[in-house]
Amino acid sequence: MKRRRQIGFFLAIALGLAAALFYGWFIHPAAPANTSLASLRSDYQADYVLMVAESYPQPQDVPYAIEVLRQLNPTDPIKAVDQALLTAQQLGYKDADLHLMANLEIRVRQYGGGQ
Amino acid sequence: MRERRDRQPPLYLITGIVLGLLAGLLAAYVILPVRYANTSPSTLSSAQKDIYRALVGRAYLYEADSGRAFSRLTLLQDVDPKAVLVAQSQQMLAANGDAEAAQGLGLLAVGQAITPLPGPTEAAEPATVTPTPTPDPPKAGTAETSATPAQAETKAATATVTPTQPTATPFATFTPRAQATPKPTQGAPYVKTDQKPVCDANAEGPLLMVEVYDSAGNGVPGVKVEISLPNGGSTDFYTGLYPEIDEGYADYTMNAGDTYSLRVGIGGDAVSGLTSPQCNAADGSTYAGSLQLTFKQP
Repeated sequence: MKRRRQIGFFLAIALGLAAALFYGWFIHPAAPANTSLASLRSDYQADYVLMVAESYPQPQDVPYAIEVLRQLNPTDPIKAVDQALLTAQQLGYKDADLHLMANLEIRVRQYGGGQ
Repeated sequence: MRERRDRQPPLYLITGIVLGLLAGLLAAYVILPVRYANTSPSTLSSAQKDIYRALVGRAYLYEADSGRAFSRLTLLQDVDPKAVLVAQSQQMLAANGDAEAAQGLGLLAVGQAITPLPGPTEAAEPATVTPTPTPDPPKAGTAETSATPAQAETKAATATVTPTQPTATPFATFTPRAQATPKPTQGAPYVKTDQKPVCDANAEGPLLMVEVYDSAGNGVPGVKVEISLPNGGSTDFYTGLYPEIDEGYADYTMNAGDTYSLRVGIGGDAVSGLTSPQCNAADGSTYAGSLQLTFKQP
Protein backbone atom coordinates (compact mmCIF):
# COMPACT_ATOMS: atom_id res chain seq x y z
CA MET A 1 0.00 0.00 0.00
CA LYS A 2 2.80 2.40 0.92
CA ARG A 3 4.68 1.60 -2.28
CA ARG A 4 1.54 2.18 -4.33
CA ARG A 5 1.18 5.57 -2.73
CA GLN A 6 4.78 6.46 -3.48
CA ILE A 7 4.38 5.50 -7.10
CA GLY A 8 1.15 7.46 -7.32
CA PHE A 9 2.77 10.48 -5.70
CA PHE A 10 5.60 10.59 -8.23
CA LEU A 11 3.25 9.95 -11.10
CA ALA A 12 1.16 12.90 -9.93
CA ILE A 13 4.25 15.11 -9.86
CA ALA A 14 5.14 14.03 -13.38
CA LEU A 15 1.60 14.69 -14.53
CA GLY A 16 1.57 18.17 -13.00
CA LEU A 17 4.98 18.93 -14.43
CA ALA A 18 3.95 17.85 -17.91
CA ALA A 19 0.72 19.83 -17.74
CA ALA A 20 2.48 22.98 -16.59
CA LEU A 21 5.18 22.69 -19.23
CA PHE A 22 2.60 22.13 -21.93
CA TYR A 23 0.73 25.19 -20.75
CA GLY A 24 3.82 27.37 -20.42
CA TRP A 25 5.42 26.34 -23.68
CA PHE A 26 2.48 25.78 -26.02
CA ILE A 27 -0.73 27.30 -24.72
CA HIS A 28 0.43 30.48 -23.05
CA PRO A 29 4.17 30.97 -23.62
CA ALA A 30 6.00 33.88 -22.08
CA ALA A 31 5.95 36.94 -24.32
CA PRO A 32 9.15 37.51 -26.27
CA ALA A 33 11.44 39.79 -24.32
CA ASN A 34 15.14 40.34 -23.91
CA THR A 35 15.81 38.73 -27.23
CA SER A 36 19.05 39.11 -29.13
CA LEU A 37 19.84 40.60 -32.50
CA ALA A 38 20.60 37.10 -33.73
CA SER A 39 16.97 36.14 -33.22
CA LEU A 40 15.62 38.94 -35.41
CA ARG A 41 13.48 37.99 -38.36
CA SER A 42 15.37 37.78 -41.63
CA ASP A 43 14.06 41.06 -43.05
CA TYR A 44 15.12 42.92 -39.93
CA GLN A 45 18.51 41.22 -40.09
CA ALA A 46 18.85 42.34 -43.70
CA ASP A 47 18.14 45.91 -42.69
CA TYR A 48 20.65 45.58 -39.84
CA VAL A 49 23.33 44.48 -42.30
CA LEU A 50 22.40 47.38 -44.56
CA MET A 51 22.90 49.71 -41.60
CA VAL A 52 26.32 48.19 -41.01
CA ALA A 53 27.17 48.71 -44.66
CA GLU A 54 26.02 52.33 -44.45
CA SER A 55 27.75 52.99 -41.15
CA TYR A 56 31.16 51.54 -41.89
CA PRO A 57 31.94 52.52 -45.48
CA GLN A 58 35.68 52.97 -45.18
CA PRO A 59 38.14 50.11 -45.65
CA GLN A 60 39.63 50.75 -42.23
CA ASP A 61 36.16 50.29 -40.70
CA VAL A 62 36.00 46.60 -41.55
CA PRO A 63 37.14 45.27 -38.15
CA TYR A 64 34.45 47.35 -36.45
CA ALA A 65 31.87 46.24 -38.98
CA ILE A 66 32.76 42.63 -38.31
CA GLU A 67 32.32 43.14 -34.58
CA VAL A 68 28.85 44.55 -35.15
CA LEU A 69 27.98 41.77 -37.59
CA ARG A 70 28.96 39.19 -35.01
CA GLN A 71 25.81 40.19 -33.16
CA LEU A 72 23.91 38.37 -35.90
CA ASN A 73 26.20 35.42 -36.28
CA PRO A 74 28.98 35.20 -33.69
CA THR A 75 30.94 32.55 -35.56
CA ASP A 76 30.45 33.53 -39.20
CA PRO A 77 29.69 37.20 -39.94
CA ILE A 78 30.10 36.61 -43.68
CA LYS A 79 27.25 34.16 -43.56
CA ALA A 80 25.11 36.81 -41.93
CA VAL A 81 25.89 39.22 -44.76
CA ASP A 82 25.27 36.58 -47.41
CA GLN A 83 21.91 35.70 -45.92
CA ALA A 84 21.02 39.37 -45.64
CA LEU A 85 21.93 39.94 -49.29
CA LEU A 86 19.67 37.10 -50.30
CA THR A 87 16.81 38.45 -48.26
CA ALA A 88 17.39 41.95 -49.56
CA GLN A 89 17.18 40.72 -53.14
CA GLN A 90 13.98 38.84 -52.39
CA LEU A 91 12.48 41.91 -50.79
CA GLY A 92 13.39 44.15 -53.70
CA TYR A 93 15.92 46.40 -52.06
CA LYS A 94 17.17 49.25 -54.20
CA ASP A 95 20.24 48.63 -56.30
CA ALA A 96 22.17 51.22 -54.32
CA ASP A 97 21.49 49.37 -51.07
CA LEU A 98 22.34 46.01 -52.59
CA HIS A 99 25.53 47.54 -53.88
CA LEU A 100 26.43 48.75 -50.39
CA MET A 101 25.77 45.34 -48.89
CA ALA A 102 27.71 43.56 -51.60
CA ASN A 103 30.65 45.86 -51.02
CA LEU A 104 30.50 45.09 -47.33
CA GLU A 105 30.46 41.38 -48.08
CA ILE A 106 33.53 41.72 -50.29
CA ARG A 107 35.42 43.81 -47.74
CA VAL A 108 34.58 41.47 -44.87
CA ARG A 109 35.56 38.46 -46.95
CA GLN A 110 38.85 40.09 -47.95
CA TYR A 111 39.56 40.83 -44.33
CA GLY A 112 38.91 37.23 -43.44
CA GLY A 113 36.02 38.08 -41.19
CA GLY A 114 34.51 34.66 -41.40
CA GLN A 115 37.34 33.03 -39.56
CA MET B 1 -14.53 3.01 9.68
CA ARG B 2 -12.82 1.53 6.62
CA GLU B 3 -15.44 3.03 4.28
CA ARG B 4 -14.83 6.41 5.77
CA ARG B 5 -11.07 6.21 5.10
CA ASP B 6 -11.66 5.22 1.46
CA ARG B 7 -13.85 8.25 0.88
CA GLN B 8 -11.05 10.63 1.90
CA PRO B 9 -9.50 12.46 -1.07
CA PRO B 10 -6.12 11.05 -2.12
CA LEU B 11 -4.10 13.90 -0.67
CA TYR B 12 -0.79 12.44 -1.79
CA LEU B 13 -1.99 12.62 -5.41
CA ILE B 14 -3.21 16.18 -5.08
CA THR B 15 0.04 17.17 -3.39
CA GLY B 16 2.03 15.55 -6.15
CA ILE B 17 0.08 17.28 -8.89
CA VAL B 18 0.42 20.67 -7.19
CA LEU B 19 4.16 20.19 -6.75
CA GLY B 20 4.48 19.15 -10.37
CA LEU B 21 2.47 22.12 -11.57
CA LEU B 22 4.59 24.55 -9.58
CA ALA B 23 7.81 23.02 -10.82
CA GLY B 24 6.52 23.00 -14.36
CA LEU B 25 5.44 26.63 -14.30
CA LEU B 26 8.78 27.61 -12.82
CA ALA B 27 10.55 25.78 -15.61
CA ALA B 28 8.30 27.07 -18.37
CA TYR B 29 8.47 30.72 -17.39
CA VAL B 30 11.76 31.18 -15.54
CA ILE B 31 14.28 28.39 -16.00
CA LEU B 32 13.52 27.25 -19.53
CA PRO B 33 11.23 29.82 -21.10
CA VAL B 34 10.37 29.64 -24.75
CA ARG B 35 13.21 30.97 -26.85
CA TYR B 36 11.99 32.90 -29.81
CA ALA B 37 13.26 33.24 -33.32
CA ASN B 38 12.02 35.62 -36.00
CA THR B 39 11.49 38.38 -33.48
CA SER B 40 11.13 42.09 -34.02
CA PRO B 41 13.47 44.82 -32.72
CA SER B 42 10.95 45.86 -30.09
CA THR B 43 11.61 42.64 -28.17
CA LEU B 44 15.37 43.12 -27.99
CA SER B 45 17.05 43.35 -24.63
CA SER B 46 18.06 46.79 -23.47
CA ALA B 47 21.72 46.24 -24.35
CA GLN B 48 20.86 44.95 -27.80
CA LYS B 49 18.56 47.88 -28.39
CA ASP B 50 21.46 50.17 -27.57
CA ILE B 51 23.58 48.47 -30.22
CA TYR B 52 20.77 48.73 -32.74
CA ARG B 53 20.16 52.38 -31.88
CA ALA B 54 23.85 53.25 -32.15
CA LEU B 55 23.92 51.70 -35.58
CA VAL B 56 20.93 53.77 -36.62
CA GLY B 57 22.77 56.87 -35.42
CA ARG B 58 25.91 56.02 -37.37
CA ALA B 59 23.94 55.18 -40.49
CA TYR B 60 22.15 58.51 -40.22
CA LEU B 61 25.46 60.36 -40.24
CA TYR B 62 26.44 58.68 -43.49
CA GLU B 63 23.07 58.55 -45.19
CA ALA B 64 21.43 61.74 -43.87
CA ASP B 65 18.11 60.01 -44.35
CA SER B 66 16.04 60.96 -41.36
CA GLY B 67 12.96 59.17 -42.69
CA ARG B 68 14.76 55.90 -42.82
CA ALA B 69 16.42 56.48 -39.46
CA PHE B 70 13.15 57.26 -37.73
CA SER B 71 11.37 54.32 -39.30
CA ARG B 72 14.11 52.12 -37.92
CA LEU B 73 13.88 53.71 -34.49
CA THR B 74 10.11 53.28 -34.54
CA LEU B 75 10.63 49.54 -34.66
CA LEU B 76 12.11 49.69 -31.17
CA GLN B 77 8.82 51.07 -29.85
CA ASP B 78 10.49 53.25 -27.24
CA VAL B 79 8.01 55.12 -25.09
CA ASP B 80 9.88 58.42 -25.39
CA PRO B 81 12.22 58.01 -28.35
CA LYS B 82 13.69 61.50 -28.13
CA ALA B 83 14.64 61.12 -24.47
CA VAL B 84 16.12 57.70 -25.15
CA LEU B 85 18.22 59.09 -27.98
CA VAL B 86 19.53 61.92 -25.86
CA ALA B 87 20.25 59.64 -22.92
CA GLN B 88 22.11 57.07 -24.98
CA SER B 89 24.06 59.76 -26.80
CA GLN B 90 25.17 61.28 -23.51
CA GLN B 91 26.06 57.91 -22.06
CA MET B 92 28.16 57.03 -25.08
CA LEU B 93 30.03 60.30 -24.90
CA ALA B 94 30.56 59.98 -21.17
CA ALA B 95 31.94 56.49 -21.64
CA ASN B 96 34.18 57.57 -24.53
CA GLY B 97 32.13 55.32 -26.78
CA ASP B 98 31.47 55.65 -30.47
CA ALA B 99 31.50 59.42 -30.97
CA GLU B 100 30.01 59.21 -34.45
CA ALA B 101 27.08 57.14 -33.27
CA ALA B 102 26.57 59.52 -30.36
CA GLN B 103 26.60 62.48 -32.70
CA GLY B 104 24.13 60.80 -35.03
CA LEU B 105 21.78 60.02 -32.17
CA GLY B 106 22.07 63.57 -30.88
CA LEU B 107 21.26 64.98 -34.28
CA LEU B 108 18.31 62.65 -34.64
CA ALA B 109 17.06 63.72 -31.23
CA VAL B 110 16.92 67.34 -32.29
CA GLY B 111 15.75 66.55 -35.81
CA GLN B 112 18.68 68.30 -37.40
CA ALA B 113 19.05 67.89 -41.17
CA ILE B 114 22.62 67.11 -42.11
CA THR B 115 24.87 66.56 -45.04
CA PRO B 116 25.94 62.93 -45.26
CA LEU B 117 29.50 62.01 -44.49
CA PRO B 118 31.38 60.81 -47.55
CA GLY B 119 31.56 57.13 -48.24
CA PRO B 120 33.75 55.47 -50.85
CA THR B 121 30.85 53.68 -52.46
CA GLU B 122 28.85 56.78 -53.14
CA ALA B 123 30.51 57.46 -56.46
CA ALA B 124 29.39 54.10 -57.74
CA GLU B 125 25.79 54.75 -56.95
CA PRO B 126 23.46 56.00 -59.63
CA ALA B 127 22.91 59.71 -59.68
CA THR B 128 19.17 59.37 -59.48
CA VAL B 129 17.82 56.46 -57.57
CA THR B 130 14.44 55.22 -58.62
CA PRO B 131 12.75 53.90 -55.54
CA THR B 132 11.62 50.34 -55.93
CA PRO B 133 8.23 49.33 -54.61
CA THR B 134 8.61 49.14 -50.90
CA PRO B 135 6.65 47.22 -48.34
CA ASP B 136 4.09 49.09 -46.34
CA PRO B 137 5.64 51.10 -43.56
CA PRO B 138 4.97 49.95 -40.05
CA LYS B 139 2.11 51.63 -38.34
CA ALA B 140 2.28 52.37 -34.68
CA GLY B 141 0.30 49.93 -32.65
CA THR B 142 -0.23 47.44 -35.45
CA ALA B 143 2.84 45.41 -34.90
CA GLU B 144 0.95 42.29 -34.08
CA THR B 145 -1.57 42.39 -36.89
CA SER B 146 0.36 42.24 -40.12
CA ALA B 147 1.04 39.00 -41.88
CA THR B 148 4.37 37.31 -41.60
CA PRO B 149 6.23 37.55 -44.92
CA ALA B 150 6.96 34.55 -46.99
CA GLN B 151 10.64 35.22 -46.63
CA ALA B 152 10.39 34.74 -42.95
CA GLU B 153 8.87 31.35 -43.51
CA THR B 154 12.03 30.14 -45.15
CA LYS B 155 13.73 30.72 -41.86
CA ALA B 156 11.23 28.68 -40.00
CA ALA B 157 10.63 29.30 -36.39
CA THR B 158 13.27 27.34 -34.60
CA ALA B 159 12.83 27.34 -30.90
CA THR B 160 15.51 25.39 -29.23
CA VAL B 161 13.31 24.21 -26.45
CA THR B 162 9.78 24.40 -27.72
CA PRO B 163 8.02 25.49 -30.84
CA THR B 164 8.36 29.15 -31.52
CA GLN B 165 5.73 31.77 -31.87
CA PRO B 166 6.73 34.14 -34.64
CA THR B 167 5.90 37.69 -33.85
CA ALA B 168 3.78 38.86 -36.72
CA THR B 169 5.45 42.20 -37.11
CA PRO B 170 5.57 44.21 -40.29
CA PHE B 171 8.54 44.74 -42.50
CA ALA B 172 11.01 47.40 -41.71
CA THR B 173 10.40 50.41 -43.81
CA PHE B 174 12.84 50.97 -46.59
CA THR B 175 12.30 54.54 -47.48
CA PRO B 176 13.79 55.96 -50.62
CA ARG B 177 17.17 57.50 -50.17
CA ALA B 178 16.92 61.19 -49.51
CA GLN B 179 18.17 63.59 -52.09
CA ALA B 180 20.28 65.32 -49.50
CA THR B 181 19.99 69.04 -49.70
CA PRO B 182 23.43 70.56 -49.51
CA LYS B 183 23.49 72.27 -46.19
CA PRO B 184 26.82 72.99 -44.67
CA THR B 185 27.13 71.64 -41.19
CA GLN B 186 30.35 73.49 -40.65
CA GLY B 187 30.39 76.91 -42.24
CA ALA B 188 32.52 79.83 -41.21
CA PRO B 189 34.56 79.21 -38.07
CA TYR B 190 32.82 80.05 -34.83
CA VAL B 191 34.07 83.04 -32.94
CA LYS B 192 33.81 83.53 -29.21
CA THR B 193 31.48 86.41 -28.51
CA ASP B 194 31.00 86.14 -24.78
CA GLN B 195 32.51 84.56 -21.70
CA LYS B 196 31.12 84.98 -18.24
CA PRO B 197 31.15 83.20 -14.90
CA VAL B 198 27.93 81.61 -13.69
CA CYS B 199 27.43 81.20 -9.97
CA ASP B 200 24.78 78.67 -9.10
CA ALA B 201 25.20 76.91 -5.80
CA ASN B 202 22.66 74.31 -6.87
CA ALA B 203 24.54 73.30 -10.01
CA GLU B 204 25.78 69.71 -10.16
CA GLY B 205 29.35 70.83 -10.49
CA PRO B 206 31.50 73.46 -12.12
CA LEU B 207 30.34 73.33 -15.71
CA LEU B 208 31.93 74.58 -18.86
CA MET B 209 28.80 75.67 -20.67
CA VAL B 210 29.11 76.24 -24.40
CA GLU B 211 26.46 77.82 -26.58
CA VAL B 212 26.91 77.81 -30.34
CA TYR B 213 24.83 79.97 -32.66
CA ASP B 214 24.80 80.50 -36.39
CA SER B 215 24.96 83.91 -37.96
CA ALA B 216 21.18 84.22 -37.66
CA GLY B 217 21.32 83.62 -33.92
CA ASN B 218 19.86 80.10 -34.00
CA GLY B 219 21.39 77.40 -31.82
CA VAL B 220 23.35 74.90 -33.87
CA PRO B 221 23.23 71.25 -32.79
CA GLY B 222 25.83 68.67 -33.70
CA VAL B 223 28.81 70.97 -33.47
CA LYS B 224 31.91 69.27 -32.16
CA VAL B 225 33.56 70.89 -29.17
CA GLU B 226 37.08 69.67 -28.56
CA ILE B 227 38.40 70.28 -25.10
CA SER B 228 42.00 69.86 -24.05
CA LEU B 229 42.39 68.28 -20.66
CA PRO B 230 44.90 69.32 -18.02
CA ASN B 231 46.68 65.97 -18.24
CA GLY B 232 47.46 66.53 -21.88
CA GLY B 233 44.65 64.49 -23.42
CA SER B 234 41.56 65.76 -25.12
CA THR B 235 37.93 64.79 -25.42
CA ASP B 236 35.04 65.74 -27.66
CA PHE B 237 31.46 66.54 -26.97
CA TYR B 238 28.68 67.86 -29.13
CA THR B 239 26.03 70.50 -28.96
CA GLY B 240 22.40 69.55 -29.26
CA LEU B 241 22.20 66.94 -26.53
CA TYR B 242 20.17 69.22 -24.30
CA PRO B 243 17.42 70.46 -26.62
CA GLU B 244 15.38 71.38 -23.56
CA ILE B 245 17.98 74.08 -22.85
CA ASP B 246 19.00 75.07 -26.35
CA GLU B 247 19.82 73.19 -29.50
CA GLY B 248 23.21 74.85 -29.57
CA TYR B 249 24.02 74.06 -25.95
CA ALA B 250 26.59 71.64 -24.60
CA ASP B 251 28.40 71.38 -21.31
CA TYR B 252 31.35 69.67 -19.71
CA THR B 253 31.99 69.13 -16.02
CA MET B 254 35.29 70.70 -14.99
CA ASN B 255 37.51 69.87 -12.09
CA ALA B 256 37.85 72.90 -9.86
CA GLY B 257 41.33 74.35 -10.15
CA ASP B 258 42.17 72.73 -13.51
CA THR B 259 42.72 74.83 -16.59
CA TYR B 260 41.23 73.86 -19.93
CA SER B 261 41.23 75.06 -23.49
CA LEU B 262 38.66 74.32 -26.14
CA ARG B 263 37.91 74.69 -29.80
CA VAL B 264 34.42 74.86 -31.29
CA GLY B 265 33.80 73.35 -34.71
CA ILE B 266 36.40 73.04 -37.41
CA GLY B 267 38.84 75.87 -37.82
CA GLY B 268 37.63 77.82 -34.85
CA ASP B 269 40.02 79.65 -32.60
CA ALA B 270 41.23 77.82 -29.53
CA VAL B 271 40.11 79.41 -26.30
CA SER B 272 42.56 78.70 -23.54
CA GLY B 273 42.97 79.48 -19.87
CA LEU B 274 39.48 78.33 -18.95
CA THR B 275 39.13 77.61 -15.28
CA SER B 276 36.30 77.44 -12.82
CA PRO B 277 35.60 80.85 -11.22
CA GLN B 278 35.29 81.20 -7.49
CA CYS B 279 31.84 82.13 -6.30
CA ASN B 280 30.67 83.35 -2.92
CA ALA B 281 27.86 81.52 -1.22
CA ALA B 282 25.23 83.24 0.91
CA ASP B 283 26.89 81.98 4.09
CA GLY B 284 30.19 83.57 3.12
CA SER B 285 31.89 80.39 1.95
CA THR B 286 33.21 79.96 -1.55
CA TYR B 287 32.54 77.34 -4.18
CA ALA B 288 33.62 76.55 -7.73
CA GLY B 289 31.31 78.18 -10.23
CA SER B 290 30.61 77.51 -13.87
CA LEU B 291 31.83 79.24 -16.97
CA GLN B 292 29.59 80.15 -19.88
CA LEU B 293 31.03 80.70 -23.34
CA THR B 294 29.07 81.84 -26.35
CA PHE B 295 30.24 81.23 -29.90
CA LYS B 296 28.73 82.58 -33.04
CA GLN B 297 29.35 82.42 -36.75
CA PRO B 298 30.18 85.84 -38.10
